[in-house]
Amino acid sequence: MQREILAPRPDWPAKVEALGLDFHTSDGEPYWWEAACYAFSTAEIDVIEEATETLHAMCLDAVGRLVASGDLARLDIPRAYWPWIAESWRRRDPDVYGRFDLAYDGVSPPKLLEYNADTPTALLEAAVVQWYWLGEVKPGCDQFNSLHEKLIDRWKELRQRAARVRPGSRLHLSGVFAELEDRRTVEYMQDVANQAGWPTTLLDVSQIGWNGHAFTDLSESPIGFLFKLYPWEWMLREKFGEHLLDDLIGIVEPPWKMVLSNKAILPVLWEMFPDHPNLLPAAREREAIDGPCVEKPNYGREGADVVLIGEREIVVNRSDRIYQALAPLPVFDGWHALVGSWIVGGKAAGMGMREDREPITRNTSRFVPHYFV
Amino acid sequence: MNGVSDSRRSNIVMLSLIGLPIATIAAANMIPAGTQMRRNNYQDRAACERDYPPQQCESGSSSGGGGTGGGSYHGPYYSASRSTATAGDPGPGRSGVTPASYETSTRGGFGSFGRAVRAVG
Repeated sequence: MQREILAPRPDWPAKVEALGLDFHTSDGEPYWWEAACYAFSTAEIDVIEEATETLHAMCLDAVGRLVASGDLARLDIPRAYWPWIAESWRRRDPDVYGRFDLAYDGVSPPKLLEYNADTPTALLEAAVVQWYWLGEVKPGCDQFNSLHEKLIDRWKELRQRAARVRPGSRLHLSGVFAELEDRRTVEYMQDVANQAGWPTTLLDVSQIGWNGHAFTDLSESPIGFLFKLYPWEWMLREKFGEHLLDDLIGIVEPPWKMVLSNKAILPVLWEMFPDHPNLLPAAREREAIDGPCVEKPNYGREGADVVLIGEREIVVNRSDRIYQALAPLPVFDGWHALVGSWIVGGKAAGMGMREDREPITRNTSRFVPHYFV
Repeated sequence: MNGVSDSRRSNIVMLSLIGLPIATIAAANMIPAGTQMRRNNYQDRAACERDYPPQQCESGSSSGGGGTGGGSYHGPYYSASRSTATAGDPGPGRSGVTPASYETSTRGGFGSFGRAVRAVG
């Protein structure tokens, strides 16, 4: 695993914008960064791929255990939704995608920092933009990136399932469209769903209606299947949340995914698989973790409210936080590098590299393309 | 891991929607929480067509979440408050006669957190 310095393509802004990445710069700071790239060996990609599918399997085991025990209180999920989530799991409502954020230095086993199981982004740049970059800049090399094809395949599978339940079903896709990145992510998902044969409709999450029996779109047609780039924990707590229990709508990601899109799952995984090489010690109490650790909010996103805690530092434990042993990200040329490893339909599907001057990866951290040989 | 190297990269990545100008994408106006939509119920098609073009009158049983009863035909949904009506809103009916009954639908019940905090990770 190495970081290479490169000369960016002279016309790179136009090229990435043509692919939909018109959020490549934010507040004057680059988000897409092709003046460098990360190089991996095939053996290193093997390790990441295997770790990703292993973590996915462990996560499914954890959902099964929590649902079977009826213990969703530790995930801060309102009790009224527990049976609904359990039923979603028992039906095995299909999921589409997720992203494991890993600390990996090319030497030690990858360590799970968190699992973005519900609303992962950085998808377009991982699936599309770096794929085209590779073809131009490193044409003789390979890339761990079959995201596009796997997403289309997965949406085809879901369309076949949907056709059995509700023939002629339409897929509605929703998110917070005031956020450019979110809108582009939803549009990309619409694109692959279309290529999988779904008729689709986009609408902002605030445009979803409720007519007393069903969720509706702007033409008042009932929504049968919904892809939402909007966190479950917010939907449950908003005005229409209670209606989720009344409708038979199919939603991606499915309700059982909210068990995983919650950092409180990290202590559960550590309890179930202690000393697993792809996991870090995690607990709900700081004192249960030896040495320096990281305090994370159960529902935090993009590094928000993540706090590094020193070896002898004492904190007041909070019920809405978990504590995880520190696994420093490898540093290349002063940049802390994070592996975001994607899973689609249960299969490892590719990865995206993020880097930051600070040890915590945030929404402003750069996306840097990669290749392997 | 053996036998996977040939499937690690997409063979082809084609896009049909991405890169379109924002203006061509579906409207993304945020709808305030609790915006109420309404549609009128009518005893027969003729009564509905006094208020709306024929293509906006549909037969069917009442399916709304509230309101004042049922009818054999109904018109399109419109904003219950003229202050929140959009340009394409069909309005409460051109006859100006108060309908015998109506149904209600509500929007804006999702999205309040998203307006305050960025949504994804």
